[in-house]
Parts: sequence; structure tokens; C-alpha cells
Amino acid sequence: MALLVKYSKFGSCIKHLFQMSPQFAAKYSVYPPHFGEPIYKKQELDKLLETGGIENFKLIPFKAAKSNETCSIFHDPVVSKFINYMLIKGQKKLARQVLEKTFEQIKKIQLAKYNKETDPEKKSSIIVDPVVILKKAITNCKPLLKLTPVKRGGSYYQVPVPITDKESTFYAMRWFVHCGREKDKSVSFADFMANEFIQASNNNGRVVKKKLDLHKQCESNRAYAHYRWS
Amino acid sequence: MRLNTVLNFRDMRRYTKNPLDVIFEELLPLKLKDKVSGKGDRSKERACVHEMSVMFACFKKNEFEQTQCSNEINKFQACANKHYADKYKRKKDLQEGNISLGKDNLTPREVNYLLKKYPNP
Repeated sequence: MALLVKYSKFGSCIKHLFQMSPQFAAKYSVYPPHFGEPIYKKQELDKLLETGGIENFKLIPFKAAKSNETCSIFHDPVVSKFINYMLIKGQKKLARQVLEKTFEQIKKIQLAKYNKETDPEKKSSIIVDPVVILKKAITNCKPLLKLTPVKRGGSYYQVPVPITDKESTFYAMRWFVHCGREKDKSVSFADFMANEFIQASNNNGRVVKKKLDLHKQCESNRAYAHYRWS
Repeated sequence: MRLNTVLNFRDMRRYTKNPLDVIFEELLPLKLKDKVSGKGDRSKERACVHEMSVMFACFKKNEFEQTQCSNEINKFQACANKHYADKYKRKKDLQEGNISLGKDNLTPREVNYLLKKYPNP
């Protein structure tokens, strides 16, 4: 108990430090900064043991893993991130069920294609795993730049700016979610998104078009590139 | 700086017909100050603009097909990542008050630090 009190006191005084340095995400800020991120995947742990990187983690305390982080083979960080982006009003269970239904639909469509195909070479190239298709779709939709408004001489210019990998992943996922929300009401989310994911994994579809539109806009605004700060 | 000398400055060109007779008046002390302003810090050229334009040229040639321009894209992203890393390091140095001396390219902060340590005699 005394230890707990000590940590909580320490945590409150270290709070300002958290806000100052972007290196430590203040996600679960009850922990002091010397606490390490949890390694909850067995494969990652094995890799660390093999390479000897485990030595760095031996003597430091760890944060507890979040309740949705498991070592199950069905858990995937990209998928759980996507669920978090698509949920509304904290209805995580519903969001998860909807995405699972979408995966089922993807699998159905791809399996039908797989069984129809007679050419063995083409047959092996068809991806049946929905998670792989989701990841491929997201990587195909990642933008390279974004437009930010910069005020120069009293008017705002849309300036193309390079973005980080994390940010571009976020944009791609958000476009998928928005695409799903704009669909016609007569079609179910699962059917619609299954088609959308398969199309995006083949580098066409609405979301890929959205990315191309952004790139074209950036290209037409390339003259403003030196208006950027820093 | 003594303002008096500047305010009471007599333009000698008015009082003498001969331009060779102008007497030199030392209005401001004839030596450099022990500090520099930070205005010259920010370079005019923004980072990765060249890489961006090369990438756009490639895009225009191949109708925005990314597979055709993977080389240009990789260069642009490497440049952007380096820029972000440098920026983060600079911010970190400023926060911690680190000063890297003995380099060719000194920042105004470092120049000011050195000038304060070794002022103009």
C-alpha cells in the first residue's frame, strides 16, 4: 500500500513531464515514465529472447496490458485499431461484430472466386484471408501528403505537407470508415465494406480514388510548398 | 548606445561646402555587439520541397500511378522522416539546453552563448 501511495504521488508530480515530452504517450498516465510498454504477443517475446534484446527489459517494471490486448492468434493490432476508429458512442461490441461480419463476407466472396478459378497459377494468387486483405487495402490507401491551411498575406493557402507513417495510416482508416457511413441504407455495412476492401486491395475503388484526389490537389497546390512553416 | 549623439547629430554636409572637409563623428560605438538576432536562423528553403517536386513530376508523367514512382516516393519519405527526426532533436536540445560547440554551422543560440562567454574586448 505504501508503495502504491508512493507511486501515485510520484505520478502526479511527473505529470508535467509527460506533457512536455511527446516520446512517452500519455495513454495510461497513472504510470511513471520508467514503466515499459507491455509485450503481450508470444512471438514478439520469442524474438526478443532470440536476439538478446530481452536484457533491456529484465530489470524494469511494466505497464499492465490493456483488456483487449491478448496473445490470441485472432488478435491483430491493425484490426483492433480499425474497430476503435469505426465505433460510435463506445459501442465496441457492436463495432466488432460488424467488422467480423464484414470479414465473413470477404471470405465468402474470395472463396467463391477461389473455387471458380481453374488455372492453378491464378488460383494461388487469390488471397482468402480477410485480415491480409484489410491490411493490403489500408496500405494501398495511405496518402503521401496532406494539405494544411497556412495564413499568408491575409488569406489562407492549402499547403502540401509530408506526413508520418502513423498519420497516413490514420487517414486511410478514417476514409474507409467515412466511406462506410456514406453508403446507401438499403445495403448492409458488411456487404458494402467487403466489396470496398476487396476493391481497395486491388488498387481501385472509392477510397483509392479519394487518395488520388488528394494527391492531385497537392500537385496543383505544389507552388505553395514553400509557404510551410519549418 | 548613447541616444544623445544620434539626436544631436549635425549633418556636416550642410555646414561645409567642400565634401573633403567633412569631419567624422562617431555616433555609435564602432564595434560589433555581443549578440546576434535569431532572424537568420530559419533558412528560406523549406525541407524536402525539391524531393516533392520531383515526385510530382513523376506522378504527372505516369498519371498518379504509385508503382511507377516508387524510387521517388522512397526518397521523399526518407527526406521527410529525416526532417522530422532533426526537428525533434532540435526541440529536445532546446528544452534541455544542450549546446553542441565546435561545429561549422552554429545556431544563433550557440553563437550568443559563445559571445557571452568570450565578449568583444
